[in-house]
Amino acid sequence: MGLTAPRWAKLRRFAFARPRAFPVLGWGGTNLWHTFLDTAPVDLSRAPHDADLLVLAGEIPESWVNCLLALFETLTLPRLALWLQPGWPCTAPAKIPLGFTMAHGTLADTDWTAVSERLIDPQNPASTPLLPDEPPAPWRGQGDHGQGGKGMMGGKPYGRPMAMTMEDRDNLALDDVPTFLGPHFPGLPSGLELELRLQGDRIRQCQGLHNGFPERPFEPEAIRYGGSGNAPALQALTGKPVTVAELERARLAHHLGWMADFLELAGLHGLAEGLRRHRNSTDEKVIEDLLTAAQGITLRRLGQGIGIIDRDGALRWNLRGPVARASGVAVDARSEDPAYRDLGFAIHTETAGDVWARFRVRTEECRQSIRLLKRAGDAMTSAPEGPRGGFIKEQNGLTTPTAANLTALNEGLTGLEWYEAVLFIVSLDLDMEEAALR
Amino acid sequence: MIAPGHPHWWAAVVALGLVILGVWWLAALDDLFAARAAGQGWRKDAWLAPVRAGLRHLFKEFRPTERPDYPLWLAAPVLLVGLTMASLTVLPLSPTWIGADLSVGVVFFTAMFALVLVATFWAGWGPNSKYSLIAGYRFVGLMLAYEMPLAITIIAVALPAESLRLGAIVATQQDAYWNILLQPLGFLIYLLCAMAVPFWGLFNVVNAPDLADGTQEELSGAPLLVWRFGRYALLLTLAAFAVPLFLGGGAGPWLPAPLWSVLKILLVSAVLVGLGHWLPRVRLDRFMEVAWVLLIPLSLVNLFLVGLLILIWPELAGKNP
Repeated sequence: MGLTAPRWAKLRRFAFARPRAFPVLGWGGTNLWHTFLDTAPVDLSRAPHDADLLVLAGEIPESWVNCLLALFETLTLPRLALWLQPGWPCTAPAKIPLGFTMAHGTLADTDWTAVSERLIDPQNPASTPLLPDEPPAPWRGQGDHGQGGKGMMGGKPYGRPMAMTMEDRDNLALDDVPTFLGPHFPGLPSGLELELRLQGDRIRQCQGLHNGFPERPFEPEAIRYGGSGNAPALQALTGKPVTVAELERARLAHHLGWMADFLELAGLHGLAEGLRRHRNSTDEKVIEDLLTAAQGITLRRLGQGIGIIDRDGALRWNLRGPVARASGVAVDARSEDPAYRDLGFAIHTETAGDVWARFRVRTEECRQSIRLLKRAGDAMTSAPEGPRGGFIKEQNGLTTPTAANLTALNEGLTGLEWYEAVLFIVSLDLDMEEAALR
Repeated sequence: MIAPGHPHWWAAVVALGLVILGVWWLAALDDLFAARAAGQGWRKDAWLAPVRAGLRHLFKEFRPTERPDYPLWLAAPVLLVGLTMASLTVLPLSPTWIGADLSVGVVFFTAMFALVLVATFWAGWGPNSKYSLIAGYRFVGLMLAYEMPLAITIIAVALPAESLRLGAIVATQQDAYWNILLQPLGFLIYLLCAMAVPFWGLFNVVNAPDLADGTQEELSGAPLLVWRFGRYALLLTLAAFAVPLFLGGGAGPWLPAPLWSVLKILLVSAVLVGLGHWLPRVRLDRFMEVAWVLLIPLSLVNLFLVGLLILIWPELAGKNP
């Protein structure tokens, strides 16, 4: 890379004073990442090619190392890797040359000029290639471009299967392209890997669904692994009552953060930033203003009729939380809890069962949480109802709301167009960390 | 010929300078409106942000993907900027401040806008990447939707002047009524299409977040800078043509005509940039339906009404009955 000569140093410093960051969220990473976005002078990058910082948030599972190496290698120079350490002791992500490790709770005191200095320093270890510049698999195609013997068939160029022609829904012969989605697609659940077959931008089939987070037994002493916003609900599950205020604050913050991710995908970056910034606020007016803006009429048109899960489906697949409630199934552990009954809690349901209904349920629950917070005082509850739904302890372990709602994902993806699929996945609010709990 | 007597390269330099200033203005506004939508008030250093972003791209490395189609991939940003600059040659800031007042000026700049399809498809095809490719052919769908309403609306604008020459269209408006008064419906349709051509705001299905920035996904460094510049320049151009087409060109009191044109261009482009932050993106299938079922008939109604009005009252188009 040119322009690294010292005489350019001043301009480089100016240019990279506000770097772009690409997130990878491990155990406990979601909250760390959101806090990072709030405090650090950075912009979110959705494409690793144009990112400067790879932000590894939380405890990174060991099995991610090779994938992360390849991902970091995609970042063009200058680049730097940061690790946001969670609030518990764990090993640093292996093999990636970390520029900085930021301990839990120290973000506010970080010297950001030091970070950008390190970023533009040509001597920083991240500037040298980490992987050899060679194809990921040997060439096994036929012909110059892997076009094979006949037509488009034959060969597996560099280990990738060629697209085969398939009949589509209009009885046309259209290439059937194997495509992978995840596990680090910004805005989609971290760790979610989908093996899709695409015809054009329509999903013909979802062939595989993997969770990048390795399974982890539920330990009552270590509820920190339970996914974002779940800590109070998991504590209630272990039998230790929590205050209603704690449970509702966690729900409100989680829903607002989710809404921010959704609006980013809908192209409303500014509004998303506002929601994220105020997600820990309980100021009724501020939040009401943001919710009203977010519920604008055109957003309704974006989500209506997409990814419909009817009531029968929701019951058949045992869906939980806002996803079930948006399909008209009034399931909520809080409704059976005496503390909530005293506060006059009533379950909010919608009937449409589409992306918009799930959005509506969450906005209503935000309002509900604010009302409950005002009246809750120090009421205690033992309802294990997290922001994504109730946890159920069974004999052979724990079933989490995400694990239950993943059924809907597998069933619902077929036939959706790409943007519908992305909105559908986000609307289910999956947390793969939570799904890994056993 | 920008002021007769000057050489042609002078016009090109002035035009490029004005476009760079315009892009700066739009990029800074974009930042301001984003902060505004986030409830943060007005950012004071917003005017610096575009400079910083531009420099950052220049200092950033360009890295190819595996087996890209280099010629098409790298030509795409250049084509985007090129077609924009080409279309601006027929834009009159005043009767004398114009690159070339072609007798078919209207046809020329719409033909240039049609090339946006080529640029986006190259940008999608070039990097040999699935998300970019999907983004590339999404634009084909978008164009199928906006192209007809845009073309019909522009025909209706040429109708009162009975000319495809932009100078004549402006002169007719200055003699009689501005087209925004004569055909407000057409103006609204034009504004909508003006956001669709540079796939801006609610029409950003091409550099879309759900495709990890689509055609920009694999770009970095200088080519990305050129692509982003081209997109802002295209938005600016679409806003600029609203001025001679609907807003009476350089007409206005006290100030000289070119200044009035520039002021109007800045205003229209600010409206377009602002709208981008308050309207969520459209669904391509729905917009296709809206365009063919609603916008095309509406633009035809507009065309018919304008024709009828001028037939009954020729003075509306500045002609003596």
